[in-house]
Amino acid sequence: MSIILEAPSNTGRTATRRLRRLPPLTWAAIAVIAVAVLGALFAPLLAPHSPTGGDILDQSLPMSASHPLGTDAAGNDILSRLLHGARPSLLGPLFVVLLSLLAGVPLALASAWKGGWVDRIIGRGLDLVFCFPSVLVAALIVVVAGRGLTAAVAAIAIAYIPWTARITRTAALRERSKPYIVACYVQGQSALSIALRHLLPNLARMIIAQATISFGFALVDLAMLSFVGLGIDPPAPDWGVMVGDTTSIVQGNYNGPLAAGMCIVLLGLAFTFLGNTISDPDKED
Amino acid sequence: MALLELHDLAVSAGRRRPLLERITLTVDSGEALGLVGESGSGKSLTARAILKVFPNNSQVSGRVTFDGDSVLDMDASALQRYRRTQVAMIFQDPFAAINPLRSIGDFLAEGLRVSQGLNRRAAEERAVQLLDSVGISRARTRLRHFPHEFSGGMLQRVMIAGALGSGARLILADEPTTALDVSIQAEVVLLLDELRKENDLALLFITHDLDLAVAICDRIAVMYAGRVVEDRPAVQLYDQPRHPYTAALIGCRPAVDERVDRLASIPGNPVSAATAPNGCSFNERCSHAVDLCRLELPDLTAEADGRVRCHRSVELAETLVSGRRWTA
Amino acid sequence: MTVQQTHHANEPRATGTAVVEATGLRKTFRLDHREFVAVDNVSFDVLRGECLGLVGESGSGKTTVAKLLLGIERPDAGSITVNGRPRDHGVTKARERRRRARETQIVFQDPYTSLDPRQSAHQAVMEVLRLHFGELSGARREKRADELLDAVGLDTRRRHALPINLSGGQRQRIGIARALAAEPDVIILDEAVSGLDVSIQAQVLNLLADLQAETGMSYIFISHDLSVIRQLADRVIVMRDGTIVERGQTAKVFDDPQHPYTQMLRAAAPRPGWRPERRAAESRPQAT
Repeated sequence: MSIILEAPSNTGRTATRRLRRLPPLTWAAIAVIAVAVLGALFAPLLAPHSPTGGDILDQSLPMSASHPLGTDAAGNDILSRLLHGARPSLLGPLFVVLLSLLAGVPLALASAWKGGWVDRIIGRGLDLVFCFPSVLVAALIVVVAGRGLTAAVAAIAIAYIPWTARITRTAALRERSKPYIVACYVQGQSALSIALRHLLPNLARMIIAQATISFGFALVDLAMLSFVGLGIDPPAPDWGVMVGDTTSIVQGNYNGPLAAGMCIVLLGLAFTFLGNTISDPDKED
Repeated sequence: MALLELHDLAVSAGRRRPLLERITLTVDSGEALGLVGESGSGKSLTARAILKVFPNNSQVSGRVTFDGDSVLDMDASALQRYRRTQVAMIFQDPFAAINPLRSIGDFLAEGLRVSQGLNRRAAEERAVQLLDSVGISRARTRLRHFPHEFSGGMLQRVMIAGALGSGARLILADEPTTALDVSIQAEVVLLLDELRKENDLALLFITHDLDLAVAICDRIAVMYAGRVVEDRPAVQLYDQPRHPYTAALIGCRPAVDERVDRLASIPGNPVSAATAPNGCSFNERCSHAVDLCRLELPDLTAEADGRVRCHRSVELAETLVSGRRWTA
Repeated sequence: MTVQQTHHANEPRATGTAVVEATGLRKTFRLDHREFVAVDNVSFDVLRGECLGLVGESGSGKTTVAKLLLGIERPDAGSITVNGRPRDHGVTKARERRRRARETQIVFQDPYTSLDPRQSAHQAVMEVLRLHFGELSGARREKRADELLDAVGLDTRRRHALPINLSGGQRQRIGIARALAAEPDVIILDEAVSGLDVSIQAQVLNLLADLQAETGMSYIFISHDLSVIRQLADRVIVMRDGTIVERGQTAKVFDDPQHPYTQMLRAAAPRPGWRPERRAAESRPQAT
């Protein structure tokens, strides 16, 4: 038998108190994400130089006051490229997550609600998508549509749909079996209204948490596609492109790839931590 | 000196939130004490405190002594020995209390090896004996079975066998029959009762069901909001309750042999120690409360046959009726 | 308290006409390629204004009967008639479910999962009112919601709180208000007081009796607890392994049980003066 009977009734205050009690690691994650987002938003104002069109005479300069992180083999200012590169590097994962949610969540809800053959067909379909490596899909799309952010985003989004749908379906199945959902059904609410007004809101926290975590993964995956040349076309600024800047590496200039790589890893971690906190805010790590 | 003694045991979560307040209780060898209360009363916490298991970040004061040794002062190895060989706990849900991937034989034998230092062969022989003694037939074959092959009642018997095998002198049974069917419940409590008497064990029987507690306990301590409010011999407590809460608790349970026009009920909700009002914790729900009850917490005072925590217990002695009698 | 319902106000209790008639119900489930009979040849009727008790242990099929009545499960054989209209099974259109909701409602055992954690008491009741009484003005529905929550005794301060901030008893009151809101002919109470503390159980049992006296609706009260069945049910059905073993007036069945199973259940229920007894079939060697 449980011990606590009368929980505090002022939910507004508990929310702020909970926010204040967040572990420091979560605050660090939020700070990292905030810096990246601000950098991306205000890149034109913050960047000391243009991210492209650098002078070949300035190639591979060391760190200095005018080039805080030095320049790459093409003579572009690395800090400026990092700031501008934050835009596709963050927008890409955002679209990946939105697209995979848009397709995955309705599939999951339909699957969990209908069960039976609907569930089986959706399940098989997802298995099929699951089998294709995202690199292969990306290559296919690039062949058809040409290189660019769109192709990469589409490829990763497709690869993420089964994952999103699976996790959401499992949670939806558990929620669906709870008596309050049965009560709605018995009251005669339509399936759509139950799904939108009861099921989805109660799954929202879990879905947002998963989306945050997949954001981190998508960031890394997109960078990987750019790195292997299936994503954004160099010399356009992008972190994946920067990591794959072989010309610099050949010259022994690791500043650009290192800086971009660290940005990717840091942000990826930050999103994973944030996602974990959202899914279980009371857990202390 | 009794086998188990709790003296002024207080537990709070952090510094602010009290969970148990100055619990003083004793259980002696061969004695069965029923710990009865609703949710928030702290009865399960009390049982865990006896094993020196407390919620995270809790503050503890007071004493728990087992056979003269202070449990709260035990170091890790003494505590391990105490938990393995002196006390056994039986939980509400036996399926959650046993490793589902190991056979019943492994479960019993491991307990015997660590508590009694038996070798493999001897442990198996003893396990067979134990299953026999809790009324499980074909014991030798049963040893190779897994928990999911047992019914709830059967598995609870296995847990009791494990408790017996450890040589424990005190059994803590926390709602051991709540998850079982009525017919099985009777068998399991009977088994507990018989084994306790045969082996001169001390039994702490935790339940929300006062009728069940009276049937197998010598003495009953009724708890409310983290405090003991009445502690008296079982049948006397039932027939002639001295605390208004005890009386109300007996009176509000519907009876199987008669339908009443309207059940006596206690207004409001049960409170926990943290949410209890000033004065007597029960005053807001008590039909006998006077001003004093709202101002001052009554002591747990000794009476002729036990202890009662009520300002008005003496003057109400004749008036308090539960409407039920245990003895015809 | 005003919970009087328009369509059967002022009717005396248990008028003798059947609201629900179930005939020859049978339901099997497949489990690990084995067929398992949950309910077999179960027939009963529920009279207007009466409380029919359904008592049994785990696996007796009592909850499956509730699911069949509500149309959540489909019987393999047998028929169910409510208000003289046969329920054909497998119809799951929202419209038909709404119509049925005006006839049969359910209150669940676990007050912790039977409410949407994101809905307050007021929102939960309003949602049901919107569904069934769309023709009423918003103000009328607000008033009705207040009446219903008054009727179940949920104090005003708690009506806009989320379930997590309420006790088990308070949540169960909301579950009852939600069922009442549809003004059904029958409410199925599936172990509706089993999860509650003893003192709260008494409050809810009294509440259920009051509501029935006022509205004249019928209850199907499912429980493993003989004492609460005794207190609330006019007639009782004893189920075991999916079949009915005994039925009759509650007082008669409990005071003079005929079937050995009922006798055993009766003997095993703790009560004043009770001692646990060993069943004849059981064997335990006496320790030496």
